[in-house]
Formats: sequence, C-alpha cells, structure tokens
Amino acid sequence: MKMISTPPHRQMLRADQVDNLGEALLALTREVWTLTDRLTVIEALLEAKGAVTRADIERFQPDAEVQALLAERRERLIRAVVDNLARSPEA
Amino acid sequence: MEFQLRQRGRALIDFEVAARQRANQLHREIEQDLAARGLGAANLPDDMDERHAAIEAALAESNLYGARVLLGEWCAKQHGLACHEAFNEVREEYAPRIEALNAGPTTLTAPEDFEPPAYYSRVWFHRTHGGWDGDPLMGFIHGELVHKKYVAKVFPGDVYAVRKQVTDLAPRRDYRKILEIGASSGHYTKVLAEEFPQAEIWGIDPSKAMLQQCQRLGNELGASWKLFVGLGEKLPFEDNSFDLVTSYAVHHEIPTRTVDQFFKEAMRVLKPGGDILMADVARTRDLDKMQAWSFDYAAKWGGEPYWRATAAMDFTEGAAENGFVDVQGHVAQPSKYFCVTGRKPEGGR
Repeated sequence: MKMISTPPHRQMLRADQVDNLGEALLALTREVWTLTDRLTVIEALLEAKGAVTRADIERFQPDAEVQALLAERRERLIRAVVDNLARSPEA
Repeated sequence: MEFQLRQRGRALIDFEVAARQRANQLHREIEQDLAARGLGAANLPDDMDERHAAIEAALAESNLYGARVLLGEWCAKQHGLACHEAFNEVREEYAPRIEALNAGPTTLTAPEDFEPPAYYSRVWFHRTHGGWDGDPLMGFIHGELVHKKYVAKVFPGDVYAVRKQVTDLAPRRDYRKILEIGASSGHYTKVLAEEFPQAEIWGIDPSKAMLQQCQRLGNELGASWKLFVGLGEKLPFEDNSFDLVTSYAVHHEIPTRTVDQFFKEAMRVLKPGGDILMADVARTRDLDKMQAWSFDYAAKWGGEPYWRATAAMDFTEGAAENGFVDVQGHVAQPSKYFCVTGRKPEGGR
C-alpha cells in the first residue's frame, strides 16, 4: 500500500490572533447583513413594482412592515453569531 | 437638513445599533451571572479598580463575558467608522447643501491662534476615529448620523428629553442672555432656544467642526446664535455679561481641575443674580455599586478617560466653593443625570 507523507499538525493561528479572528467574524457578519438587507429591499420592491433598478434600491426607505422584517432578520443573524461565541463548552 | 443614506450605509448603521443592543443584553445577562455567583451591589469592593478586578476574576472562564467584551470593543471602534462610511456614500451629493448652511444669522468666531489643551487634543472622545475634528464635516456626521441614528437608539429612554428635563430645572424663565459651555453640534442649544425663546444664545466649544454643525442648525432655524471656538475654563467674554451659564454632558469630558475653572469662569461672566445650570452624567454616589461598575465599564472602554474622576465629584461643593449661593443638586429620573443650579450673589463681582 502506498504511504502518503503528510506534515505534522501545524498550529495556524497564534493566541494573540484570537481577538483579530473575533473582529474578522463580526466584520463578515456585518457584510452578510448589508447583503441580507439589500436582498430584503429587492424582495419588497419586486413585490410592489415587479422590477427594480439600482436607483430604486438606493432610494428605498423601509416602511414599518419592512423595518420589522429587517429587524427580525438582523436579530437572528447577530444571535446566530454571538450566541455561538457566548455559549459555554458544555452547552 | 433632510438627507437620505444609501442602502448599504443605512444597513451598516442598523447593524451597529443591533450589535450594541445585543451587547447591552449580554451585559444584563452578565450582571445576572454575577448575582448567581454571589457578587452584587451589596458585596462588591468600594474601590473601582478593585471592583473591576473582582468582577473580571469571577468571569475569567465565562464565554458570555468574552462575547460581551468582543461585541463591546467592536461597537466602540466601529460605530463612528460605520457612520463615516455611510456618509461618504452620499458626501458628494449633500456636502454643497450642508456647507451652504454655514451662511446665515448664526455666527461662528474661530480664533486662528486657538490651541486646544492636551486633555482635549490627545483624546478621541467616544473613540471617535480622528476625534471631533477628524473630518471637516464631522459635526454633521456626529450630530446627524452618530447621535440621531445610533446614540438615540442604543441608550434607554429619550436622550433628547433629558435635555428638556434639565432646562425645566432652571431657576428662572426670563433670561435675556444665555451662555452654553460645550455647545458641540447643538442638540442642547436647540432646546435652550426653544425653552427660552426671548434669550440671546451664545455657545462655546473647542471643536470648530462640531460648532459648524451647531451654526448650520442655528441657520436652519433662522436663529442668531453667537458661537465661539474656545474653552469653558478660559471664556473670551466680559465680566458680568450673562444671565445664565449652562452646560449639558460636558463635565465628564474634562479633568477634575478644569471643572473648578468652569465654575470660576461662570462666576466671572455671570451678571450678579445670574444662574448656573450644569448637568452631567450620573454621579457614582447616586448609583449602587453594580450600576456604578456598569457605567464605569462603559466609560473605561468607550473613550471617556475623565468620566470616573468627574462622576465621583460633588458639583454642588464646587459651585458653593466658588461663591454661588442657593446651590442645589438634582437627580433626573430615570437617567440619573446630575444637575447643579446656583446663583451669583447680587453683590458678586
């Protein structure tokens, strides 16, 4: 049987990079949020008008219904990230 | 001025608000966690540094606390940057209209030789990247985006209503000439103008960029405010020239030695019989030890280097020691903002 040589396990991040990792995760979460928001806006515009332009998206001001939907999605995203960071190992 | 952010900018700020609200929730959960560990207002150390150390030791293994620290740091660093980025998306569109509002009946005097003291120039208050003068339009960015779209949503209650509460404590209503120390972007200035419509409003602040926003606000309102770049501890005004000297949330941004100078200068520029009305953040003595730790925690990590020392002061003593009479302290509810009122004696000079 042919043996495949693999190097030993290598620790990739240093302990002092953990904080950077946390901030990188939040930066990524924020980018996911801006796209989720944009998608929600596009959905609302499509439902109302059947077609959208970039200018429509930029000008769009969420009404109460869309604001509530955005708040729910935003809360869910932040909870998904933060609750996983906050949970204890046994949870 | 009416303005509208683009989709991404609006979403960035919405995210920062939600992140800060989640950090606030985590903080409350941590207080419950500490209570479950037997640490609370009744048995925390008196010394604030020791209190921080005791709480950090108790939470050393807490992932909940780690998440709260991460989210808190993120919000402290990012809220201003996010607002800046949101504004930059529309800067080209709105900058000409914003700058056009510099012209009007409200004047701004900025001495070319003004040198801010180190306690001001070496601090980025609220961890605002670049400080209050970090962008020529920082006044607009802070006043209209950071304050109205972030601060107003992450602090409990109506932050603007507290300003009105403070003016309700003014000993009189018939002031003719009012000086506001620390006018900044004009949120309190506007309330003063509404509450004392007959009064001439003067304001002073070390930040030209912030005062320019105050000027724009005054011009939008058609007001003739007189604004000056300068310091509360070195007022460029004549003796006996104002009926009321007032400030809102300024004392915790200055060292304790400067607080005393504020009172001295207020005494000098007030007319005999004139009043002081100075409000600032909650005093440590009006909070229980856990509340005081929470406030101090937010200040320590939120770009407030002078908070702890000034929150421990008794401004009523400072006012009385500098010759004010009928000095009274008031605690606003539910914010617990502290307000001191006092009068320059009729025979005062």
